[in-house]
Amino acid sequence: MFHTGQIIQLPSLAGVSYTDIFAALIIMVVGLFIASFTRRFITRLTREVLPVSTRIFVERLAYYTVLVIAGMAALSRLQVDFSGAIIAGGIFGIVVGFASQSVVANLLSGIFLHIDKTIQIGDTLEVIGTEIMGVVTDMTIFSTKIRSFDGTQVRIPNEKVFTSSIRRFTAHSARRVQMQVGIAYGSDITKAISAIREALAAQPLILADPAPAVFVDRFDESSIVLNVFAWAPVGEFFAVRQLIPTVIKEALDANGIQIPFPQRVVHIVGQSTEKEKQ
Amino acid sequence: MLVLKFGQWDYSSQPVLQLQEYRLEIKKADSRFRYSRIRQGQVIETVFTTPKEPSLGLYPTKPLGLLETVNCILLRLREEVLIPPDGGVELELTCPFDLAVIITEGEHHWVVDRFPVTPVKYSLYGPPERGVVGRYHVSTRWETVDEETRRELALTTIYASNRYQSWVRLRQIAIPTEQIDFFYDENQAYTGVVKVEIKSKALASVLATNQPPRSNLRRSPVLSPAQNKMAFDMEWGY
Repeated sequence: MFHTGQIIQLPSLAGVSYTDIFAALIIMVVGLFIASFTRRFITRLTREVLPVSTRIFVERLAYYTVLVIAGMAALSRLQVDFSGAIIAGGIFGIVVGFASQSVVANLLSGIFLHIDKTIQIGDTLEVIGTEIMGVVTDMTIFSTKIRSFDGTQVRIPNEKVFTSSIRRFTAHSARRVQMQVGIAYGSDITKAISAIREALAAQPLILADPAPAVFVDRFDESSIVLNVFAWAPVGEFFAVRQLIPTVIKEALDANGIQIPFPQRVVHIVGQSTEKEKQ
Repeated sequence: MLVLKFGQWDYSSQPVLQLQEYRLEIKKADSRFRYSRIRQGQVIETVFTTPKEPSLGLYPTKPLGLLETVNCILLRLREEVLIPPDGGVELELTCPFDLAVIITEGEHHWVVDRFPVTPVKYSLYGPPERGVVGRYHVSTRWETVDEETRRELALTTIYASNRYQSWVRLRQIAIPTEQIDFFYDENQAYTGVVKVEIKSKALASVLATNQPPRSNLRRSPVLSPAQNKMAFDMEWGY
């Protein structure tokens, strides 16, 4: 059985001189000064190197570490015995450690995310295997906040972000838009392909290089399916994605190429055709 | 044909300008000005208030087109150029520009409007994971361009030199937009001189200088001065 009262010696001011009290005050003031100086120094040192959220975390960590050290130094000047507190703190630390594994994991993951620069504020991303998709709006030491496309906010613990596969949509300068279109079996494939290519080439936001690609993908029941690939500047992806179907439809209409409805030829068993009757 | 005089816009005597399919208008009521750009029924308006008569001008500027940030102007040469080892060539080529309507007060400039005067196209220079998006233009030799087209394009003077020990073929030039300066005379736009140095089989460096290509040219207002005049390395083919 552990009795806190038997081990921790409560601080006593007995025997403490005015000089000690004055010295403790001086230590605290100096400690405060050093903590502020350290914080400013870290700000200056990391302003252009670290992301804001990481910088704030490091600043706070340094500031409070210096303050705690100064506080302990001041208290020991006042003859406060920390041995009991350290033992109790150790046991308390073990209990808290077990209870806060996930908190620590999130904290460490948050630090690693900042160091690794896996994701950054402003990125559009998808956490693969979940339904989470949106824009990163904030990254704190414990969690990452994402504004999903429907305007809601999703908070993900950093550990989950760090251990998940992430698809970043805005990592590169350009993105490929792709879609499929079916044309009627009676259509001139070459004419359809060149009509779509020309229409895409006339669009300013579709990149000239890599050039748009249009090719036959497969032969479906009712149509010949064409694949259409076009590249757009990453920030214009959705504008181009919205534009392409209209451009393709107009190009095919202008060239008399039909996008067919699903068709099915039905043969009725036992019913002779006109040809057989003749 | 682009009938346009660069420089000061005397809006009190000529409040309406017709530039190809664009119509620019200034309407004044007391100290309130309403600027409009009208194209195919689409109107873009800016209202500004100033106690004194503003100095308004039309200037050629960086060809960003429809995007706010474009890293480079990618000139794809219609006629490729062969350069011998330790040789050099001077080229006069076409280059797109945007037209900017700018208020000037002393050393300060405010952009009222900016728009492209020729069809816009973009291209990726380099691979998607590392490349940059640039304003794309198929560039022809200036001497082959007719008078009408010259009004719509800027003349860019390129000094290309080959420091590599073999013949090289120059197909394209990526000029960093941050660094390029524009100049004008009454009705013709120019870029500053561009220096291309071919260093190896895979690398050329491009420096957009701030030197005018001819004398007696005026410089367009510099809206966002480049921090450093550094050469742009073309590492994905030239």
